[in-house]
Amino acid sequence: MEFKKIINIFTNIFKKPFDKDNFDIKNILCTLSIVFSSVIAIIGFASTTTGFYVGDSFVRVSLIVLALLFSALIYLSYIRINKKRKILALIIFVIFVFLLAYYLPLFPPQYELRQFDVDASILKFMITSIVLIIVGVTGASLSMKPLYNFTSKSSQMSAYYILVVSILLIIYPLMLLVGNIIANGIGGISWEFLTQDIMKLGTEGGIFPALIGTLLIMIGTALVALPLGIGCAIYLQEYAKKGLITRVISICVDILQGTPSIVHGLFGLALFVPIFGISLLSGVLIMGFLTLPIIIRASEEALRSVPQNIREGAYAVGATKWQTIKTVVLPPALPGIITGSVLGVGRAAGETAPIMFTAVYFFGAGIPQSPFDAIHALPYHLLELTKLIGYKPVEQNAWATALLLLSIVLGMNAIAIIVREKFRVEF
Amino acid sequence: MKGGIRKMKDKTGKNKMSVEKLSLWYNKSQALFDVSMPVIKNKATAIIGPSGCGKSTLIRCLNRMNDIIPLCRTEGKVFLDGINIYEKKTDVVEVRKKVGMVFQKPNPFPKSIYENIAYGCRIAGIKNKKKLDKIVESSLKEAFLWDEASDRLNESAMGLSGGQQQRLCIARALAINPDVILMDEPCSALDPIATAKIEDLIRELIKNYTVVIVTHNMQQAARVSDYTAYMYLGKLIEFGETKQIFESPREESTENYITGRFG
Repeated sequence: MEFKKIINIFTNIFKKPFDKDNFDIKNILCTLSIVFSSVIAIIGFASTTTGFYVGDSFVRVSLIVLALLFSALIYLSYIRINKKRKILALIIFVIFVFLLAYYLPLFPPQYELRQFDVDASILKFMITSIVLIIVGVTGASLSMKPLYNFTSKSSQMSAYYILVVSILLIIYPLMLLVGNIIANGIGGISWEFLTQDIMKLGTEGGIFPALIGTLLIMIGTALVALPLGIGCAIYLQEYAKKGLITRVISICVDILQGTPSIVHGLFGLALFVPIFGISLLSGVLIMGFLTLPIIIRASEEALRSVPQNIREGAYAVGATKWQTIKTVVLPPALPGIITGSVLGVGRAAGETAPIMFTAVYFFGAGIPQSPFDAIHALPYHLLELTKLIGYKPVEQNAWATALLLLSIVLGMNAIAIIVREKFRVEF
Repeated sequence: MKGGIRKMKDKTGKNKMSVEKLSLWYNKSQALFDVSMPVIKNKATAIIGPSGCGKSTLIRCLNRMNDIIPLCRTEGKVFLDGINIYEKKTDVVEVRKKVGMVFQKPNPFPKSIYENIAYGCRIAGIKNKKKLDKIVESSLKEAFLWDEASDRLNESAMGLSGGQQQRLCIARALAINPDVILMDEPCSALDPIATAKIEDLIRELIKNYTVVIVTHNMQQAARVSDYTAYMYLGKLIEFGETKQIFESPREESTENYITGRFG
């Protein structure tokens, strides 16, 4: 649906200049400028993600062509309708593009950030690609306006263009990331890899104990965080009178959510490890704390979305508060609560820092026999494998582990989405 | 109702409910000022008045629905069969089982039609399937919904039209066999045809129940009610037989409102 709409709008841009009724050189110029700017933006985009520099002459020529196109546009269209402020803005834009065309290629390939006393540098391709994206997107959205003769539709179109681009900006890197991990990791995934023990520091064998460890962490986290989180949400949303105490609890939940996961890890090290040792139990408890705010917030939101008049309907036929919550409020809120919980548990599967000091060993933990045994976990295993890259031949296994971890987390998210869509209750 | 029994003097014995010197505050702003009025048995009592005069607030006091609003405070007494329902020992749940309520906006539960009506009985602990079937059927018949809904009892109530949903809510209230039914502008979200159906229904209901209805629509009050209370700015201005209120109101304010000079 939406995709079709986007396609439609873009084909419209190409059709416009060939309209026989209102043929205009300006329209051709506009379309040309939109296409050219978009191409520049796409090239910039490709350059950021692949890290390859497009070349001095390309930058210079493309920017100059763009600036010339715009100068022509100003002459043909902006001057005709009297919009002084817009003309000024555009002229400044053109001058800016000309200046960029001159100065950008002069930038050294590697600019050392000496004055900040840090060991860092800005690479040329980064600067150019970002500039190309910005100039391209701005140019395309600006030349959209004369195409529609500055009617209200023109601003609508240029806004739409920017919004579509921003969606692509999000989707493209994600696809790149996922695609990269799949391409590199799929070769390492095999039945043996999934079911064998870890051998020789992860260079050989499989990751079965880590897989089991991660699944145990997820189950344990759910057991710890679900009852507490849902209970807390029901209390906050249904029982507690809105006042100082609820606000304090709310702020506490927010702070818990904002706490960096490594702090959670250290907290667990200080609090649980002295009692339970480095064990599944310690890891699960601290992971429970980490996911608690996600579950509380999602459950609260789900409970809040149940309309008040449904509750009144139940009270009016003589239901007590708890009966009302149990029979009328919870059932329609459940899909939302489950969605939040699954997302929370998915987060627990991917976290490394909280379990790093509290639950996992890199080597030799095996499959836990009791909650007081240490475990292996996929994210930590991946961390250690990544550290070994360059010293040992672990690259293949590292990619495969990354793929497995990613598919577990994405799988959890997919489950959450399915639950939300399938069991949604409309009022 | 257990405990806290205080018989009130009811010389005629006609009064099903009676409000005595009821004042109500939302946080610090007072919404009701010393309201006193009777609710007469097996009659329809209409409460009319301009927006914000406290009609809905008053009707919600009759089954203590205002309890669920935070920072809401009441003073005064409301008697149901001679028992003060604002007594500390009174069980709110028991009050609400005797005084059912239908709301402004139809609010069926997102469950099947059958479950909607059986809900009140289920939470009261009735589990016998045959008994529930019987209650569902009789309630739907009483609410004139049986013909339209009998073949789709297991479908979601959300698929019914607005007027049907409102009659479903009435059936739901009837299913627990209350004595009094409160209706808070039951027709304000409905079209004229659905409104006419509900009005006919109210006239039927008062054979077995006592009805209190809040309405914006003066013609509606004149059509369905036997007694009318006129409220203005949280005070009860006038209470009397509907005919008397509409034909020869004692208070000037009532007359102004009824003739449409304000409100």
